[in-house]
Amino acid sequence: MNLDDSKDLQKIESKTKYWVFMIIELFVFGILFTVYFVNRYQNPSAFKLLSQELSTTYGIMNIVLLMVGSLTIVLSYAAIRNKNRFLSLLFLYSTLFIAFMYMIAKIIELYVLFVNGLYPKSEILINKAVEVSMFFWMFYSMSIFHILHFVFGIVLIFIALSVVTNNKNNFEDFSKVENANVFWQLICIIGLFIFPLFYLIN
Amino acid sequence: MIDNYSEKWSNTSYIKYLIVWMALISLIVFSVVLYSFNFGLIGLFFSLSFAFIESILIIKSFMNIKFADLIFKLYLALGVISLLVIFLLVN
Repeated sequence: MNLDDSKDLQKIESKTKYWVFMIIELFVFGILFTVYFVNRYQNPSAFKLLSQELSTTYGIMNIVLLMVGSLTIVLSYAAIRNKNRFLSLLFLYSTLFIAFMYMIAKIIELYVLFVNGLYPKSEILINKAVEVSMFFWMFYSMSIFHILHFVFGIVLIFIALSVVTNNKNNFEDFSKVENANVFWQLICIIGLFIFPLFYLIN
Repeated sequence: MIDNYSEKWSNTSYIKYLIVWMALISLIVFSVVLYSFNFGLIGLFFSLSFAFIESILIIKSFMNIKFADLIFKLYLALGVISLLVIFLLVN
Protein backbone atom coordinates (compact mmCIF):
# COMPACT_ATOMS: atom_id res chain seq x y z
CA MET A 1 0.00 0.00 0.00
CA ASN A 2 1.50 3.32 -1.01
CA LEU A 3 1.18 6.67 0.79
CA ASP A 4 -1.64 7.90 -1.45
CA ASP A 5 -3.72 4.78 -0.74
CA SER A 6 -3.15 5.22 2.98
CA LYS A 7 -4.28 8.86 2.76
CA ASP A 8 -7.36 7.83 0.79
CA LEU A 9 -8.21 5.20 3.39
CA GLN A 10 -7.85 7.76 6.16
CA LYS A 11 -10.17 10.10 4.28
CA ILE A 12 -12.76 7.33 3.82
CA GLU A 13 -12.54 6.42 7.51
CA SER A 14 -12.90 10.04 8.55
CA LYS A 15 -15.86 10.56 6.18
CA THR A 16 -17.49 7.36 7.45
CA LYS A 17 -17.31 8.55 11.06
CA TYR A 18 -18.72 11.87 9.98
CA TRP A 19 -21.61 10.30 8.13
CA VAL A 20 -22.43 7.95 11.00
CA PHE A 21 -22.72 11.05 13.18
CA MET A 22 -24.90 12.78 10.56
CA ILE A 23 -27.22 9.78 10.30
CA ILE A 24 -27.62 9.74 14.10
CA GLU A 25 -28.57 13.42 13.86
CA LEU A 26 -31.06 12.60 11.10
CA PHE A 27 -32.57 9.87 13.31
CA VAL A 28 -32.96 12.08 16.37
CA PHE A 29 -34.58 14.96 14.53
CA GLY A 30 -36.50 12.49 12.36
CA ILE A 31 -38.03 10.94 15.47
CA LEU A 32 -38.91 14.39 16.85
CA PHE A 33 -40.51 15.38 13.54
CA THR A 34 -42.42 12.06 13.42
CA VAL A 35 -43.80 12.66 16.92
CA TYR A 36 -44.76 16.16 15.79
CA PHE A 37 -46.60 14.89 12.69
CA VAL A 38 -48.45 12.17 14.61
CA ASN A 39 -49.62 14.68 17.23
CA ARG A 40 -50.51 17.25 14.63
CA TYR A 41 -52.43 14.66 12.62
CA GLN A 42 -54.45 13.77 15.73
CA ASN A 43 -55.08 17.39 16.81
CA PRO A 44 -54.78 19.68 13.77
CA SER A 45 -56.99 22.50 15.09
CA ALA A 46 -55.26 22.55 18.50
CA PHE A 47 -51.82 22.80 16.88
CA LYS A 48 -53.00 25.58 14.57
CA LEU A 49 -54.46 27.53 17.48
CA LEU A 50 -51.41 27.04 19.69
CA SER A 51 -48.97 28.11 17.01
CA GLN A 52 -50.58 31.57 17.23
CA GLU A 53 -48.82 31.88 20.58
CA LEU A 54 -45.50 31.81 18.71
CA SER A 55 -44.31 34.97 17.04
CA THR A 56 -43.87 34.66 13.27
CA THR A 57 -41.51 37.67 13.46
CA TYR A 58 -39.19 35.66 15.72
CA GLY A 59 -39.44 32.75 13.31
CA ILE A 60 -38.53 34.90 10.30
CA MET A 61 -35.69 36.55 12.26
CA ASN A 62 -34.33 33.11 13.23
CA ILE A 63 -34.42 31.78 9.68
CA VAL A 64 -32.81 34.93 8.26
CA LEU A 65 -29.96 34.69 10.81
CA LEU A 66 -29.53 31.00 9.99
CA MET A 67 -29.39 31.69 6.27
CA VAL A 68 -26.91 34.58 6.61
CA GLY A 69 -24.71 32.30 8.75
CA SER A 70 -25.07 29.60 6.11
CA LEU A 71 -23.70 32.00 3.49
CA THR A 72 -20.83 33.34 5.60
CA ILE A 73 -19.57 29.87 6.62
CA VAL A 74 -19.68 28.56 3.05
CA LEU A 75 -17.85 31.69 1.84
CA SER A 76 -15.24 31.07 4.53
CA TYR A 77 -14.83 27.54 3.16
CA ALA A 78 -14.58 28.90 -0.39
CA ALA A 79 -11.99 31.45 0.76
CA ILE A 80 -9.72 28.86 2.42
CA ARG A 81 -9.91 26.71 -0.70
CA ASN A 82 -8.92 29.76 -2.73
CA LYS A 83 -5.99 30.21 -0.28
CA ASN A 84 -7.35 33.49 1.05
CA ARG A 85 -6.74 33.20 4.77
CA PHE A 86 -7.85 36.74 5.66
CA LEU A 87 -11.23 36.38 3.96
CA SER A 88 -11.74 32.95 5.48
CA LEU A 89 -11.08 34.31 8.97
CA LEU A 90 -13.37 37.28 8.33
CA PHE A 91 -16.23 35.02 7.31
CA LEU A 92 -15.58 32.63 10.20
CA TYR A 93 -15.78 35.51 12.70
CA SER A 94 -18.96 36.74 10.98
CA THR A 95 -20.51 33.28 11.35
CA LEU A 96 -19.51 33.18 14.99
CA PHE A 97 -21.17 36.56 15.57
CA ILE A 98 -24.35 35.39 13.78
CA ALA A 99 -24.37 32.15 15.81
CA PHE A 100 -24.30 34.15 19.05
CA MET A 101 -27.00 36.51 17.73
CA TYR A 102 -29.18 33.52 16.86
CA MET A 103 -28.70 31.95 20.27
CA ILE A 104 -29.53 35.22 22.06
CA ALA A 105 -32.66 35.69 19.89
CA LYS A 106 -33.76 32.11 20.55
CA ILE A 107 -33.16 32.38 24.31
CA ILE A 108 -35.14 35.67 24.45
CA GLU A 109 -37.99 34.00 22.54
CA LEU A 110 -38.06 31.04 24.95
CA TYR A 111 -37.79 33.38 27.96
CA VAL A 112 -40.79 35.46 26.78
CA LEU A 113 -42.87 32.29 26.38
CA PHE A 114 -41.69 31.05 29.78
CA VAL A 115 -42.57 34.38 31.50
CA ASN A 116 -46.03 34.23 29.92
CA GLY A 117 -46.50 30.78 31.43
CA LEU A 118 -46.42 28.99 28.09
CA TYR A 119 -44.39 25.96 28.98
CA PRO A 120 -45.37 22.34 29.70
CA LYS A 121 -46.90 21.79 33.15
CA SER A 122 -47.08 25.54 33.86
CA GLU A 123 -49.94 26.83 36.03
CA ILE A 124 -51.73 28.11 32.92
CA LEU A 125 -51.36 24.90 30.91
CA ILE A 126 -51.63 22.27 33.67
CA ASN A 127 -55.44 22.12 33.43
CA LYS A 128 -55.57 22.26 29.63
CA ALA A 129 -55.82 19.31 27.28
CA VAL A 130 -52.87 16.98 26.76
CA GLU A 131 -52.25 18.27 23.20
CA VAL A 132 -51.60 21.79 24.55
CA SER A 133 -48.74 20.54 26.69
CA MET A 134 -47.59 18.28 23.86
CA PHE A 135 -47.29 21.21 21.46
CA PHE A 136 -45.04 23.11 23.87
CA TRP A 137 -43.10 19.94 24.73
CA MET A 138 -42.38 19.57 21.03
CA PHE A 139 -41.47 23.21 20.60
CA TYR A 140 -39.20 23.40 23.66
CA SER A 141 -37.48 20.09 22.99
CA MET A 142 -36.74 20.97 19.36
CA SER A 143 -35.63 24.52 20.23
CA ILE A 144 -33.34 23.44 23.07
CA PHE A 145 -31.90 20.61 21.00
CA HIS A 146 -31.32 23.08 18.17
CA ILE A 147 -29.55 25.50 20.56
CA LEU A 148 -27.33 22.62 21.79
CA HIS A 149 -26.39 22.02 18.16
CA PHE A 150 -25.45 25.65 17.91
CA VAL A 151 -23.15 25.29 20.91
CA PHE A 152 -21.45 22.37 19.17
CA GLY A 153 -21.36 24.35 15.92
CA ILE A 154 -19.67 27.25 17.74
CA VAL A 155 -17.04 24.83 19.12
CA LEU A 156 -16.38 23.62 15.54
CA ILE A 157 -16.04 27.23 14.34
CA PHE A 158 -13.54 27.94 17.14
CA ILE A 159 -11.52 24.86 16.11
CA ALA A 160 -11.60 26.02 12.46
CA LEU A 161 -10.57 29.52 13.56
CA SER A 162 -7.59 28.19 15.52
CA VAL A 163 -6.46 26.00 12.58
CA VAL A 164 -6.78 28.82 10.03
CA THR A 165 -5.05 31.29 12.37
CA ASN A 166 -2.15 29.00 13.29
CA ASN A 167 -1.46 27.28 9.95
CA LYS A 168 -0.36 30.45 8.23
CA ASN A 169 1.27 28.82 5.23
CA ASN A 170 -0.62 25.54 5.09
CA PHE A 171 -3.65 25.60 2.86
CA GLU A 172 -3.84 21.84 2.43
CA ASP A 173 -5.72 21.04 5.63
CA PHE A 174 -9.05 22.79 5.28
CA SER A 175 -11.02 19.85 6.73
CA LYS A 176 -11.78 21.74 9.96
CA VAL A 177 -13.42 24.58 8.04
CA GLU A 178 -15.21 21.98 5.92
CA ASN A 179 -16.51 20.21 9.06
CA ALA A 180 -17.73 23.50 10.55
CA ASN A 181 -19.41 24.33 7.23
CA VAL A 182 -21.14 20.95 6.87
CA PHE A 183 -22.34 21.01 10.47
CA TRP A 184 -23.69 24.55 10.15
CA GLN A 185 -25.55 23.59 6.96
CA LEU A 186 -27.05 20.64 8.83
CA ILE A 187 -28.30 23.00 11.57
CA CYS A 188 -29.66 25.22 8.82
CA ILE A 189 -31.57 22.33 7.20
CA ILE A 190 -33.14 21.44 10.55
CA GLY A 191 -34.11 25.11 11.01
CA LEU A 192 -35.70 25.15 7.57
CA PHE A 193 -38.10 22.39 8.65
CA ILE A 194 -38.77 23.79 12.14
CA PHE A 195 -39.76 27.15 10.64
CA PRO A 196 -42.90 26.09 8.67
CA LEU A 197 -43.91 23.43 11.21
CA PHE A 198 -44.11 25.80 14.16
CA TYR A 199 -44.25 29.36 12.88
CA LEU A 200 -46.20 29.18 9.65
CA ILE A 201 -49.07 26.88 10.59
CA ASN A 202 -51.05 29.71 12.21
CA MET B 1 -11.54 9.43 -5.72
CA ILE B 2 -13.28 11.21 -2.85
CA ASP B 3 -12.06 14.73 -3.40
CA ASN B 4 -11.97 14.92 -7.18
CA TYR B 5 -14.17 18.00 -7.06
CA SER B 6 -11.34 19.90 -5.36
CA GLU B 7 -9.43 19.89 -8.62
CA LYS B 8 -12.24 21.80 -10.29
CA TRP B 9 -12.23 24.49 -7.63
CA SER B 10 -12.09 28.07 -8.87
CA ASN B 11 -12.75 31.65 -7.85
CA THR B 12 -16.20 31.52 -9.40
CA SER B 13 -17.37 29.60 -6.31
CA TYR B 14 -18.11 32.85 -4.46
CA ILE B 15 -20.56 33.92 -7.16
CA LYS B 16 -22.05 30.43 -7.37
CA TYR B 17 -22.67 30.43 -3.60
CA LEU B 18 -24.22 33.89 -3.71
CA ILE B 19 -26.60 32.85 -6.50
CA VAL B 20 -27.63 29.68 -4.65
CA TRP B 21 -28.10 31.69 -1.44
CA MET B 22 -30.34 34.21 -3.21
CA ALA B 23 -32.36 31.32 -4.63
CA LEU B 24 -32.73 29.91 -1.10
CA ILE B 25 -33.90 33.26 0.29
CA SER B 26 -36.38 33.61 -2.60
CA LEU B 27 -37.80 30.17 -1.81
CA ILE B 28 -38.20 31.09 1.88
CA VAL B 29 -39.94 34.38 0.98
CA PHE B 30 -42.15 32.54 -1.50
CA SER B 31 -43.14 29.91 1.07
CA VAL B 32 -44.01 32.64 3.63
CA VAL B 33 -46.08 34.55 1.04
CA LEU B 34 -47.80 31.36 -0.10
CA TYR B 35 -48.63 30.37 3.44
CA SER B 36 -50.11 33.81 4.19
CA PHE B 37 -52.91 32.94 1.73
CA ASN B 38 -54.04 30.32 4.27
CA PHE B 39 -54.37 27.25 2.08
CA GLY B 40 -54.53 25.01 5.15
CA LEU B 41 -53.00 21.57 4.81
CA ILE B 42 -52.01 22.19 1.17
CA GLY B 43 -50.07 25.26 2.36
CA LEU B 44 -48.18 23.09 4.83
CA PHE B 45 -47.45 20.59 2.08
CA PHE B 46 -46.06 23.38 -0.12
CA SER B 47 -43.98 24.84 2.74
CA LEU B 48 -42.49 21.44 3.51
CA SER B 49 -41.86 20.85 -0.19
CA PHE B 50 -40.00 24.16 -0.35
CA ALA B 51 -38.02 23.20 2.78
CA PHE B 52 -37.15 19.92 1.06
CA ILE B 53 -36.00 21.70 -2.13
CA GLU B 54 -33.95 24.15 -0.03
CA SER B 55 -32.35 21.21 1.81
CA ILE B 56 -31.38 19.56 -1.48
CA LEU B 57 -29.89 22.87 -2.67
CA ILE B 58 -27.89 23.22 0.56
CA ILE B 59 -26.69 19.60 0.47
CA LYS B 60 -25.68 19.79 -3.19
CA SER B 61 -24.20 23.30 -3.26
CA PHE B 62 -23.10 24.30 0.25
CA MET B 63 -22.16 20.97 1.78
CA ASN B 64 -20.21 19.96 -1.32
CA ILE B 65 -21.61 16.46 -1.18
CA LYS B 66 -21.84 14.70 -4.46
CA PHE B 67 -24.77 12.34 -4.73
CA ALA B 68 -22.57 10.11 -6.86
CA ASP B 69 -20.55 9.04 -3.80
CA LEU B 70 -21.62 5.47 -3.05
CA ILE B 71 -21.07 5.91 0.66
CA PHE B 72 -23.37 8.94 0.72
CA LYS B 73 -26.06 7.11 -1.26
CA LEU B 74 -25.91 4.17 1.16
CA TYR B 75 -26.16 6.37 4.26
CA LEU B 76 -28.96 8.44 2.81
CA ALA B 77 -30.95 5.35 1.79
CA LEU B 78 -30.41 3.79 5.23
CA GLY B 79 -31.52 6.97 7.00
CA VAL B 80 -34.62 7.54 4.85
CA ILE B 81 -35.76 3.88 5.00
CA SER B 82 -35.30 3.75 8.78
CA LEU B 83 -37.25 6.98 9.25
CA LEU B 84 -40.02 5.66 7.02
CA VAL B 85 -40.20 2.48 9.10
CA ILE B 86 -40.35 4.50 12.34
CA PHE B 87 -43.07 6.73 10.86
CA LEU B 88 -45.17 3.75 9.74
CA LEU B 89 -44.74 1.96 13.07
CA VAL B 90 -45.80 5.03 15.06
CA ASN B 91 -48.89 5.45 12.87
